[in-house]
Amino acid sequence: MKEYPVFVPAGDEYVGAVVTVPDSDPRGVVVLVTGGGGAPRSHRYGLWTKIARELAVRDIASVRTEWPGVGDSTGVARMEMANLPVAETAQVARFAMDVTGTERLGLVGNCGGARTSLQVAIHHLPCDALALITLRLMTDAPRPSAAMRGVRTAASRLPGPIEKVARTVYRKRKGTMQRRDALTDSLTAAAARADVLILEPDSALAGPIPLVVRDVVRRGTPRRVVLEDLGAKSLQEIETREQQVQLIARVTDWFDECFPGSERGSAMAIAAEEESA
Amino acid sequence: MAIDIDVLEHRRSFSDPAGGIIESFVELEVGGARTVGVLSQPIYGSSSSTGWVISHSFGPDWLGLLMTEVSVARALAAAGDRVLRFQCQGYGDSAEVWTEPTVSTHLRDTRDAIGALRSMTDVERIGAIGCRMGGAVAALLADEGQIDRLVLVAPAVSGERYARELLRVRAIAGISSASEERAMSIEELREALGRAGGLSIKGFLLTDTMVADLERVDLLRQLRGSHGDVLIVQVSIGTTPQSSLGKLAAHLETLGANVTSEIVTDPVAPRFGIDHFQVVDRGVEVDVMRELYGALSSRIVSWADRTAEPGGQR
Repeated sequence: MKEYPVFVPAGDEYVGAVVTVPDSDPRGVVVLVTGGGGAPRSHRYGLWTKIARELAVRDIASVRTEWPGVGDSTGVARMEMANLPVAETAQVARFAMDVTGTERLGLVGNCGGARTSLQVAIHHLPCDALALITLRLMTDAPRPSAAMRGVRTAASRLPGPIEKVARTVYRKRKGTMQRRDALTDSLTAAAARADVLILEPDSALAGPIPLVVRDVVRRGTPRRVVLEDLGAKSLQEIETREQQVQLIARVTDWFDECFPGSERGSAMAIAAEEESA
Repeated sequence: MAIDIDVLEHRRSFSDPAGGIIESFVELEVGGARTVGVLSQPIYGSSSSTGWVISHSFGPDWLGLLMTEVSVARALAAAGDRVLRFQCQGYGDSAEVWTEPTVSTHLRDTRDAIGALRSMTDVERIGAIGCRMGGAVAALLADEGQIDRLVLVAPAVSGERYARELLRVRAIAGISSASEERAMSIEELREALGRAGGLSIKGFLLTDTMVADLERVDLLRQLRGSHGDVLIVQVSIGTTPQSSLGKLAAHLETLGANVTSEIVTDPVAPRFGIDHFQVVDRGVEVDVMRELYGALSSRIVSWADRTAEPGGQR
């Protein structure tokens, strides 16, 4: 394995990144995208560095990148969910594909980085695998007005069936349904080509994300969409080394399975064939 | 298919003609293992005899102060100096990223980085800049006679107090999360640290061993060597001098140092080191420290100018 720190030109700025290449020809390249909050390319707990090195062991190259204005990158940092650094991330991904000589692309991101990864996969580059961590249900929809929040409170006191209707009306107005629909469309578009792994904290597994995944799967996407427990409250709150190890292993396994040439993937395919026989 | 090494090597550097600097990623060996550094230099060459090393702060502070350090490095380079910033083992892109850093490993790695700066440039004088615990490490290295000029930004004079501040960040996070199980006092967190072996603070796993190591730092007791030019910068909301920094200045003066004390005021000063991003609108976060970076950088550059050797050798 060898690591190359680079400044990648992206728009008017230079983005700090580290390209990690395995000793053998890479089976693909994974872009590791941080979320907002000013984390540099290595991410909190050095998680992206650790994942990059595990991927290299599986003959997968990677590039861990940061947002303009963060870490060693130039520019002014500003994190806007409605204006994510999608073009810059796509430029870094293209750079990594070119220098590693592979067209097989994966992306992993958390929070804003997950959203960015999803947009890159849908609009910019053909992507084979995605790992999306804490993919929150959000858009630039405005916060509900005080009046609408009052309606919600009043609706919660209504008898069962009426309350259900009132809640649906409220959610439509609030934007939850629109956000759900938008995310369902985005994931469906991504899953037309890429296998998608979504890792959410336990608390979010009772929220709307499972419903989104269910709707995407019902649409019959050609590729897999898998929802799993992150095993931590968030990427900022990983309390033990064991939790780190588990997350690193899950993300690494995912790309190992998704990219051809995997011993693990081959073993799974053989097992599936034997089972069907 | 071969990796395009030429392109990767070419992209190690970028130049910013408007800012007057060139920055290059450099590979360093610190603490017996590889790490990543960035050398900032004036674009048209340097006539300065001083090279600076940034001694980065500890644990979660590393993330919180990164942009401060980058800003200072670029400002000094634009003013004509060469500046090396790097990652100690246990951080970022370092080879030993799983290592638990301690004050001792910071001292070891920063010492090695100073050696690396000397070998990769022709600098004659070494300056060190450190914020909070990075300042304490820089001061301890200056005590060894490794450093000619010292800039201490909100330095951690007492490691015990600094460790409590780190735990306070976690305590505040527990309160703001409105979760009863996580809202613990600092004393309870200290006990929990001993039981659990580690606590997550702003994306860094702080261990009992680290805290015990931090608590041994006491600059007023440990600094005994001779010191040259020293700038101590207080970062606060108001202009009232902090007693701990006053005592440090007085102590260094007794050791022969030429100390300049300055105060940089900013409304976001209490967040210095903890966090630099703040939600300003729904779905929008900005770096609220940007003005503070500028103010700190200009003070440091100005002091470096004033204390330059006769003949303009900074």
